[in-house]
Amino acid sequence: MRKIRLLPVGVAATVAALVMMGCSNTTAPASVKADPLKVENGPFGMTAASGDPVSGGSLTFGYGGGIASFDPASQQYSGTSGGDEARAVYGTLTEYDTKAGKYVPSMADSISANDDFTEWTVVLRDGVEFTDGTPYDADAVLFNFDRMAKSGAGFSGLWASVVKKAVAKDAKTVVITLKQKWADFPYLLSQAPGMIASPKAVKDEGESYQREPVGAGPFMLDKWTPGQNLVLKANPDYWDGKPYLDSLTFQTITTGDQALKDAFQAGGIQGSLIGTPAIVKDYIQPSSGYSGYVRMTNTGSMLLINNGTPSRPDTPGKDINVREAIASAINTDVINQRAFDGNAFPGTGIFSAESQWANDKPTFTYDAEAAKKHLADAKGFDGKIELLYPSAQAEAALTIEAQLEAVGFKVDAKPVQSITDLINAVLIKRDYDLAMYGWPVPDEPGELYTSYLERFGRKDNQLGYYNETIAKALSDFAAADDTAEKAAQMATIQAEWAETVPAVPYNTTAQMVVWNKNVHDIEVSSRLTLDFSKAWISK
Amino acid sequence: MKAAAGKVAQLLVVMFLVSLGTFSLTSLMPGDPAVAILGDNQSPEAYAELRDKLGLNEPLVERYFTWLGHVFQGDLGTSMVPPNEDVTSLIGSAFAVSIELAVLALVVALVVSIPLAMISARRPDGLLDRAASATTFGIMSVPSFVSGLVLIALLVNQLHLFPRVGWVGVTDGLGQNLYHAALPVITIALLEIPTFTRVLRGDLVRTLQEDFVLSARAKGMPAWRIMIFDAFRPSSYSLITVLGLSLAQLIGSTVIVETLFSLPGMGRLVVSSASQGNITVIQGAVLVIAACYVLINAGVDLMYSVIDPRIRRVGA
Repeated sequence: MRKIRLLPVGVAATVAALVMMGCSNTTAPASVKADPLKVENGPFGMTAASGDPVSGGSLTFGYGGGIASFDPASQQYSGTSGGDEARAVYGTLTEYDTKAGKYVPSMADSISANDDFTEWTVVLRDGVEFTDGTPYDADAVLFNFDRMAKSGAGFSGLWASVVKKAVAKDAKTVVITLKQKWADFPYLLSQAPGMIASPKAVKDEGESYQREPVGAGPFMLDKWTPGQNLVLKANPDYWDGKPYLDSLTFQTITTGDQALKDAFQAGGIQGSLIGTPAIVKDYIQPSSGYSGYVRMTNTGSMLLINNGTPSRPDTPGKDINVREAIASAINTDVINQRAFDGNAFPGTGIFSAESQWANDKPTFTYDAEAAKKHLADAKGFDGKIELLYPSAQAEAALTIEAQLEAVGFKVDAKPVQSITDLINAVLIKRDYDLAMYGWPVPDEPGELYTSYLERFGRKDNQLGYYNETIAKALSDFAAADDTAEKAAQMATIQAEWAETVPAVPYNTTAQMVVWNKNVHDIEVSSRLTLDFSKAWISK
Repeated sequence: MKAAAGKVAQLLVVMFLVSLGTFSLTSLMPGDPAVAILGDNQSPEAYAELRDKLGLNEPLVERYFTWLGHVFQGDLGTSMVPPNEDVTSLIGSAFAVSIELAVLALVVALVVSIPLAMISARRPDGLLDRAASATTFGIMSVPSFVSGLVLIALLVNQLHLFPRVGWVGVTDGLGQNLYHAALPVITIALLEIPTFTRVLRGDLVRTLQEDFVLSARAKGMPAWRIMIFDAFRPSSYSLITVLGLSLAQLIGSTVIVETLFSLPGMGRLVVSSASQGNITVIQGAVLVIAACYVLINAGVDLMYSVIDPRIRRVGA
């Protein structure tokens, strides 16, 4: 009798395991060294469509998150958090042309600057209207700028620190005066500040505007069930012609990239955004049969070191010897093998190898003996240090803990339950010694400048680190219009970073948007947001 | 009447204690609505200001009684996190998904387990009983995330019979609704079938040894007729208890299945709200789940008296 009862348990478990093994797409186990993943920035698998674009059809994209609010005044959209949806409804005054590597007008007719990039003139297109029939004019643009500046959220902080004033020159011209020289200012207008909402709708709808947006972009809201899906329909009066697609659906799939991949392959969605290295690797193979765009980011995963914040003025990382010991103790290849099955993109520079800003300045290298020596030089330090990490990254944390302990640190590794808790500890309270943190920053100059400015370019940042040379290099980077000059400033930052060790990068991250081969002409812009205004589906 | 009034009072006390306990525990939860709203690129002052605006700096007790006052007026509040939807409407949508999944799963489980239990009970320790026992123990030993993944691998990835994720409401078409619900329903039903089968089979075996059954057999009544019309009803008390508990439990605890299939039910609503520190939604959802528990259990008590007139007489 017992035999009969115990047997099925084992049989069921074995069958389940075998079925899973047989049916799932497996990745290499941790002990097997996978081939290094070669990924380059830019499009992949694109093939020219045969024939002219055809109208009709519906396109469904699956995302792990999705838009939280359609009110651009309070949001910092990106491709991973509502940027595609908001852009479809509003368009943006400018956009980043990834092929040309520069900002170009989009909803605006033109954008130009004075000689030192402190005054920018935005000229709007004639006759453009919001979908409620009201004019898309200079007053509407200023109304939106003003709301955003007063919101205390989204881009309001950056806007206040950069923009002195914005005025209407005439009904279709807005002049923006900056507090500093910034050659890449159009970046800001390619983001939420450049998404212009109908002032009438904002005033009429009040609090509910965020759920019932009115823009002048290529699509209009049809139906939205937050957390489930969003359906947009084509705007027949879009200034650049009615979109080919009849509708565009964004399906929320919160289970992770594998579920997105399953849904993609089962035909439930025709496109998706992926970040898991092993899945990126699958899709990017020429034989995968998919098209898309890959963006390698700089400083993707960081080991943040508290250099001395008001919450922890005596943190170990205040001592340069401790920071150097940490940098020398970290072996990124080992982290890659143990935590990411060899599928990640290890590196200790603040620019990825694929970055246009990559340079020959030194980065950190693993040297256990040097780490021990630096630790010995840290007078008065007992070796105790706290490491905060997201509970989902336990394997990487365990590896980092082991590497630090191998050179003499006594690590107190503490998991945090959610990303918001990590943000709370690091960004808001600034109460940590070491923290594993996501810091993905793309090459695009506007975003790179604003990200680095917030993170370590200004005083009173989350690292408790300030360096005059880096601050000046960032400022000069912003003021320069010449790529070579910009690259020189980034090289200065890299050199200073290696010298002063504010934090230790250990991985670059890849972000990928992928879609079926029969989907054409999706354009990729800032923050990996997609423009579907000319997208179409071939039969 | 007096007993019913007592029962209602008891239910209200339970719900009050549940809401109080939940509200107290929110201070220990991970997540911060200010971070969920502002993201990770603002100054510490901006977060502090928003927390103040959201009333998160008010004393817990004061916040609780303010909230309770609104609940008595039928207002569960507004979600703290954009798009700041009405909590009642959020819970209404999620509840509709969860209750549909739970009811369909229980129906499927009953349709499978009742005949299986009857076949098993007819000849205890016979070949069919042993086979059924082995199968149910096997299924019972597989957790839902494993069975769900196996079903996905087989029925979605290989055979393309069902959608991988997503939910279509009944109002958008019954066919599409059932098509999207099928796989999650099967996954949940697999969890319940072994329990229902084992419970009913055990009770049936005992009932079939009762004198009235032996008497019916002696009179030459067919075995199937005895099983269905004589033995099943008195053997179903435990099954009804388990059914009631399962229904109440499934409404709020199918989070693994909801997550696996990206379904917008109560479990996922509570978990995602907890990760954001979205207290108003958590409070409302927990209150509704607690109400379901107590109401369903009260319903189960009522069912006993419908099935067994002796209980009705004792109650009177």
